[in-house]
Amino acid sequence: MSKQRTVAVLTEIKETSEQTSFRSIHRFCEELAQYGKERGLFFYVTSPSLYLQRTGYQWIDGEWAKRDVPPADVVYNRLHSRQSEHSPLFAELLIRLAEEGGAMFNRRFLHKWEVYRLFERHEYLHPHLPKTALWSSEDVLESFLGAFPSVFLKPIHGSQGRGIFCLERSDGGIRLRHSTSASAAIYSSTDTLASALRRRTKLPMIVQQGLELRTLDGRPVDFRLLCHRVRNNHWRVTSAVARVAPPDQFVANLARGGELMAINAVLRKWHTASDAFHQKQLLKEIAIEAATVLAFEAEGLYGEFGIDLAIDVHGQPWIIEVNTKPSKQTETTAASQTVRPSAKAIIDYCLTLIEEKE
Amino acid sequence: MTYTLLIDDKGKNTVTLPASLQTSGQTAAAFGSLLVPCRIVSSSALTDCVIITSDIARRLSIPFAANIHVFLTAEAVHLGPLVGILTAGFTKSLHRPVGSRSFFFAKLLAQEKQVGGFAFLFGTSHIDWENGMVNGYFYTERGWERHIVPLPTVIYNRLPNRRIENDETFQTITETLQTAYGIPVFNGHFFNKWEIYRRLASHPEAQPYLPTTAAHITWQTVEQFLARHTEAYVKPADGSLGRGIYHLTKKNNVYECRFRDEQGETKTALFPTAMALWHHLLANAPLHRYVIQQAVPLMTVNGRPTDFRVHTNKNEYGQWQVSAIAAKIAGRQSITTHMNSGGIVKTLEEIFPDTVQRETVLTRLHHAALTLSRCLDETSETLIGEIGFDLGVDKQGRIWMFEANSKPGRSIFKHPGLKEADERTALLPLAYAVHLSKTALTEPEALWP
Repeated sequence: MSKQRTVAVLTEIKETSEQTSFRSIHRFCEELAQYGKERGLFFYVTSPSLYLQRTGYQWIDGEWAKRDVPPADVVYNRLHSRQSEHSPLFAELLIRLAEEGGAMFNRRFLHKWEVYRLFERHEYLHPHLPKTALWSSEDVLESFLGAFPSVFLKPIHGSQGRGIFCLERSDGGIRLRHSTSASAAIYSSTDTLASALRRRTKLPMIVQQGLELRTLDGRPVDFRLLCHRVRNNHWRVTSAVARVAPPDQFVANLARGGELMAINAVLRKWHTASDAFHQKQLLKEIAIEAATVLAFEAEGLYGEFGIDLAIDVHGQPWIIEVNTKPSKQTETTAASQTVRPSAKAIIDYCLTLIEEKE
Repeated sequence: MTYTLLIDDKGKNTVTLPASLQTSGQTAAAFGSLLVPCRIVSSSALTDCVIITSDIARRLSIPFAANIHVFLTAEAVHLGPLVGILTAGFTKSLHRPVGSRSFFFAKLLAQEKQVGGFAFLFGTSHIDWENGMVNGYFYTERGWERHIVPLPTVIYNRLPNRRIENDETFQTITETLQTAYGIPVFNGHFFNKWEIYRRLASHPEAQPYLPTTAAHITWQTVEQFLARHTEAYVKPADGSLGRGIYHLTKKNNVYECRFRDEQGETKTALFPTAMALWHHLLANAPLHRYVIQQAVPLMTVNGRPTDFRVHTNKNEYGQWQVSAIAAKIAGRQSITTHMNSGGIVKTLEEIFPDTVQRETVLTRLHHAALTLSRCLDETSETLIGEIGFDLGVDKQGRIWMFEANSKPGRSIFKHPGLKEADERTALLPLAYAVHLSKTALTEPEALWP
C-alpha cells in the first residue's frame, strides 16, 4: 500500500509544561485535523524546528499529542512572524521539503508594496486599485496631497490596521491622524509634516490615495473576503463579511475594535435589492480576480488570501489590501457547523495538490 | 504603427497629421461610420501624434484621447478603428454591465491600449438606428463608462450562447449591419461539429487529421463503428464543455456505454447488443442532433489519457498563428479531458521535460492547427478570427482533430504557466480587428467577393 497522504500546518507553537498552544489558529487547527481525518489524511501541526526533528502534534482523542511524524506531502504555511520566514531553520526546512518532494503553499508574507506592483501589471484591475507609491521622498507626499483630498501612509509590512496615518488637507494646513491614537495634529506645510512623520516612524511606508468611502452612521466600512484556491488557478470566496470602523476611527480592522456585519445587511442599507446583488457579486468577483492575479504573479504557491475591499460614495469598489496569512476571526459559521468552510477549503486544496502529483 | 491622438481646444475644423502619412487631397475625417468634412493638414513637426481640434472630436463623437491607427482612403482620413464587441445579457448595473462576464470583457478591452484604437461592448438594443449611433460600454482607468459613438468599423461577435445567436432578431440585426452598413462581423457563429467535419473532410489537407465521424446515427451506425474501431464517442453536434458525451466500447462482444449522470458521476452500463445499447441511448438523448466519432487511443501522462487545446488566432496581418497550447489530462475515471470532469491543465514543459520530445510534438501540433485553421477559413462563408482546437496525439504520434470551437473557453488560462498565452489570446482578436478595419476601409473588395 502506498504511503498515507500527509498534510502539515507550519506555525509558531507555544509549548509549556501544562499545555501546547498554536496561538491564534489553535481552534482552526482542530477543525483542520477533524476534517482532514474525514478525508483520510495524516494531519499534524508543526514548527520549523519540530519539522526538522520529524516531530509534530497530532489530534488524537480530543487533544494534541506530540508524535514522530512522516514527511508532509503538503505544508500549509501559517507562520505569523516575518522573522520566522527569514530564519535559517526555515531555509533548511524548504531544502528538506524540496528533497522529499513536498509542496508548500502560502510560501511567505507578501508586503503591501509588492502586492501593488503585481496588481499594477494588470491594467483591467486599475479602476479598483488606489494609486500607491513608495514613500521615497517628500515629493511623493506633496504630489499625492495635491492630487487627492486625503492620503494614507501605511507601513508596507503592517497588519491589523496598525501604524497607519491619515493625511487630509484642511484650512490651516494638513491634518494628521493616526490609527491607534485618537490624537490629531495640524501641520502648516508638507515639510514640517514629513519631518514629524519621519520622527514617528522608521519603517518603509507606502503612500496611498485616500478614498471617499461609503459609511454607516458616519463610520467607514470595509469588506473582508476570504479566498481559497480550488484547483489549477481557480479560486472561490469561502467567507465574506463587512467590518464597520469604531466611531472616530478611520480603519475598520477588527483588531482595532471594528464591528462585524453581514455584507447583505450593509449593502441593503445603501442600495436597492438589485444593486445590492450586483455589488455583492462584484465584490466577490474582484476578490477572485485579485487572488488569481496574485497567485499568477507571485513566486511560490498560494492557496489562501484575505482580500480587503471598500466601496466609495460612487459605488466603485476598491482593493484596499491583501493578507497572505488572513485571520480566521471574520469567518462566521452557523451554530451547527463545527468545521468552518475555510478549514474544509484548505484540506480540499491540499488533497488536490497531492492528487495532481500522484 | 499607432499614433497618439491629441485633442486641441484651440483652432477649428482641422486635423493635423505627421508628414510621414502621405495624404492625397483628403477632405474629411472619419470615425466609425461618421464622416465630417474638414481641413487636413500635414506637419513635419509631428512624428507619432495626430492633432484634432475639439470641434472635430465632438462632431465625430470621439469619446476620449487614445492611441489610434490612421487609415487613408481617397476621400477621408480614418481615425480609430472603432471596434464593437457584440454580446448580450446586459444588466442595469454600470459597475457590472454584463454580470459575471464583466471582468472577462474588462480584460479584453484593457488590451486595446496595446493594440491601438477604440474597442467597446454593446448589445443590439444599444443601437440608435435613426442616428446611426451606439451607446457603448468602454472600459477606462476609471472603470466602465458609457459613450455614444458612431457605428463601429468592425464587429467582433461574442454572443454568449447558441440560443441567443440563433434568435431571429439577432440574426436580422447582424445581417443588416453586415449587408446594409458594410460592417464586417467576425466569429459570426458557433461551430456545429457535423458541419465542421463535412467542411474539413472535403479538404485533402485536413482529411488525415479527422477521426471517422458520422451524423444521423442509427443502431447500425453504432454497430459498424464499434466493429471497426472498438471505441467511439457519441456527442451532441452543438454541445460544449463535454456535456452529454457517451463513450462506447465493444469488449468480448459486450457493448459498454459510459457517461456522466446529472450529479457528475461517471456511470457504466453494459449491453449484449448494439441494438440494446442504442435503445438505452435513445431513451436519454435526442440523437438526431448527435454525431458519432471514432475514439483514438490517446497518449497518456501518468497513465491518464491526455489531449491538447491549441488556440489559433489571426494576427495583425490577417494571418493565422498558434497563440496557445496546453495539455489536458483526463480526471480519474473520467471519459473526457474536460476540466469540469476532473481534468487538469499542464503546460508542454511540464509533461515533456525532454526538449527533443517536446519540440517534436509541438511542431506537429503547430502544423496541424495551422493547416486546419486555413482549411476551415477557406471553406467558411463568414469571417473567422480565432479557433480553439481539441487535438489528440495517438500512441504512434499521429495528430487527430476532435473538435474545433469558434468561441473557445478560457479556463486553460488559469494555469500560471500560460500567462503569456492568456495575454496574447486576449490581444490578438483586437489586433485582427484592426487589420480587418483597414481592409474594410482601404480594399473592401477583398472582403466582399
